[in-house]
Amino acid sequence: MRLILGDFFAPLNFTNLLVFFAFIFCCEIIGFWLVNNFIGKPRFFLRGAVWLIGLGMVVFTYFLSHYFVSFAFPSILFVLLILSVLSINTYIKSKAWKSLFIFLKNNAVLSVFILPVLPMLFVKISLPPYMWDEMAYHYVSPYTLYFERVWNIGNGLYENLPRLLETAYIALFSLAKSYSLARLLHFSIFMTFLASAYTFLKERFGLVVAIIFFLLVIFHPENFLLWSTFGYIDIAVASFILIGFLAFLDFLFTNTIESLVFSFVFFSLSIGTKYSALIQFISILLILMFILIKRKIRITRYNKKLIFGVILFFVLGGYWYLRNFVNTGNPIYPFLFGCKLDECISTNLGRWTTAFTISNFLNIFSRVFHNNKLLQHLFLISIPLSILHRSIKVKITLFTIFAFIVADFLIVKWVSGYETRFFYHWQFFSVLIISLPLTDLPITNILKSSHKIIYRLKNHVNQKV
Amino acid sequence: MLTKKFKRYIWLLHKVSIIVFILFSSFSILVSLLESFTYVGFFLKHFHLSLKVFIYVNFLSGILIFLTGWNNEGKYKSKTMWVFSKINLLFFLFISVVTIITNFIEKVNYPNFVYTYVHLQPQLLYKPIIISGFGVLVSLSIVFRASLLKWLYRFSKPRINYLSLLTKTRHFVYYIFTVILVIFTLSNSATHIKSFYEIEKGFKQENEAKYALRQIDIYQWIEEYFPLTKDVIFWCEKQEKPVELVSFDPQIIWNSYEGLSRVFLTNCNYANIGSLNKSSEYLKKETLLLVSITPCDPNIKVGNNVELELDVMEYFKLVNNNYICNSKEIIPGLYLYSKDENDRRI
Repeated sequence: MRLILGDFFAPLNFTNLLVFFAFIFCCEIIGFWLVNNFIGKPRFFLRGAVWLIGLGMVVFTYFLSHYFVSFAFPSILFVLLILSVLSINTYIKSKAWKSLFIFLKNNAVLSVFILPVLPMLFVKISLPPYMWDEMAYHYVSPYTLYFERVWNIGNGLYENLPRLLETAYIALFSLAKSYSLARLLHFSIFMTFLASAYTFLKERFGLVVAIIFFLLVIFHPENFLLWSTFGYIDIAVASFILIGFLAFLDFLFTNTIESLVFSFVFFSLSIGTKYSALIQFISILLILMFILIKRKIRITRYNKKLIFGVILFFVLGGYWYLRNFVNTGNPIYPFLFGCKLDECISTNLGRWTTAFTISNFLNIFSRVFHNNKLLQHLFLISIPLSILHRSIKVKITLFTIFAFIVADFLIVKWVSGYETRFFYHWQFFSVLIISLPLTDLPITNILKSSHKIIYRLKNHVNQKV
Repeated sequence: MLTKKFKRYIWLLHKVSIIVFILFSSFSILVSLLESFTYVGFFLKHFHLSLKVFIYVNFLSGILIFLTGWNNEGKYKSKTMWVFSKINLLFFLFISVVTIITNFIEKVNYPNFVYTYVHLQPQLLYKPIIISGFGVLVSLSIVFRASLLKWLYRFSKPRINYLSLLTKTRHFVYYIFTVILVIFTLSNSATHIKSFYEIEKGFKQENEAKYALRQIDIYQWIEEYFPLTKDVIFWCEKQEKPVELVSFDPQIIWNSYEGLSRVFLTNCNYANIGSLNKSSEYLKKETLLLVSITPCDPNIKVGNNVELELDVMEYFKLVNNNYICNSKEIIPGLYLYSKDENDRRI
């Protein structure tokens, strides 16, 4: 078989879009089946993120298939078909599209804010590989797609990293022969996180907090929008972490065990995507242990859910560590623990990151805000405003974020330094903290529901008539 | 306390401001539109009146409307203002869409592309957008009967006890923070949208838009960004069977953007060489197809055995030079090494 270069790397077009939406819909069906059978009804703010769980399952199956067949078409088609056929019954019986439609309708207003940047997003999503790391190892060549028969695992760094998102990229590359869909997938994950966060914040803290958070994140000086069109996986990792964190907050507010399981599911997607997310996972575990002790929650009462949660945890992301353990003897090879291979390599992230030292503190603090002084000041002012806020939810959220960041920092300082894209979740958290004081203000009540504005405008028109 | 007389004067000022605002706003929009079709300063040159004057009066009267919009009865409604608001809102939406489209077309093609066809300078359309957008804000303030004076007055009303004052102060602090944050968020969004279209300004951005719109294809893209390895990529495409390429060139393995062109390889693959142990396997081979963007440097003279104590990059640099100097260049960047032909050992 001779591959023709011109058949690959096409810009975004209508056919590719259809393929993409079909893929996402399959993930949605599969995700719903998993959620419905093993976790329970998702909270409303997580309804739009169910397809991400399906994506995790699809990638896991595709990962297994590559132990036997090449990545090339039609492997992914079989994976999607088999999983979708198994899941469709539940989807139809539950009329799951209704809740999805309501969720999308609830978030429709967000698309208005995206409109002005849509032309540029179209351009960026259409491009062939052009950024350094995406060409180096996030994307594979047409050769690898067609001629790599089974997993080629050696002792190199890139061969042993968790590659959940990269495997999803390959799946879409095999379907459309273009990376525009891989870019679109990354962008969609980011948008899903924003939609979930918007709904969660709107429910818990009010419309203004939700809108301000959304606007500050998508138009952040760091340019997350642009980064979400790259093959770099960092935005996706931060998105998974934040969805997991919001689900955890929901658990803190409501004590529902389902939210806790959802939180772990999204954290497992994040650790399946990047090693560094393991640190955030440990951080949330530490907070959970503290909460369980403080609230005297008997976790053993939920044995069944927890067992399913642990299984899902391995199926959605944990298997990459299992694979590494089997291959190299070190689940996080080539970091920290050496390996059982003849020739081990060792890597230290500290080489290209800024060390967490007192002298670097201001530099790192400034970089979290992309050196934007006004954002830094708003952040510093918002902390006392949140502490003095009347709402208990605001205080819980603030202290949980701080506990998370402190735990994160205490662990990460031993293994790595600061590099902005490894800490996008800190930037998201900083924006969330800035938005928190706007909770339940009198002005929030005025703007709480858009129908009030429409009502006033209508009233005005009627008076004129 | 404010007297009734004072309130009446304020209300009169409000009504006058509305009339002035409508006049100057309409005129500013028309003049700025006219200048978008001609050039900046067109009106000043021909009518000896600067657009700036109209804009200043327009903004001043708009702020006055917001300051003085305080009517206890709430009966007064300006019909003219209402008509103006509707037309202005439609115009604002229309001109915003036109500006985005024309600026995008301009970016995709070349400077003055739009001007060549419709005699319009898209970059000058921001002025009517700003003036009209301000008009929308003023209209909203009238619809909601918002008034700075009213807010200040209500806030400064004397309270009975200390606790109430504390609560008000607390609300005031949160309110000020909200205002600052909302203004920051809106201005930051506007700045970001603008900068999003300007990042990596220059040839790359232009090519990106062309690629997205299918004005250039993947072959032209590769020719543009991989001038040194493009021939290897195109050569690979012609191979009927998968071919293994080897590179000892540190530029290809680690340092150069050209090395990343491996992601475009169709019927070839780079052998995974990144350590001394891996490379030794290939050093024993009789025939190799080598890729190098570093040409042979005859001045680097080393013996047949390259010192292994060297830094790994330095080591590969010497190995690569030895091989390239003893190989035949098939196409630019691609070399054939045959041990039989070269009785040399590295």
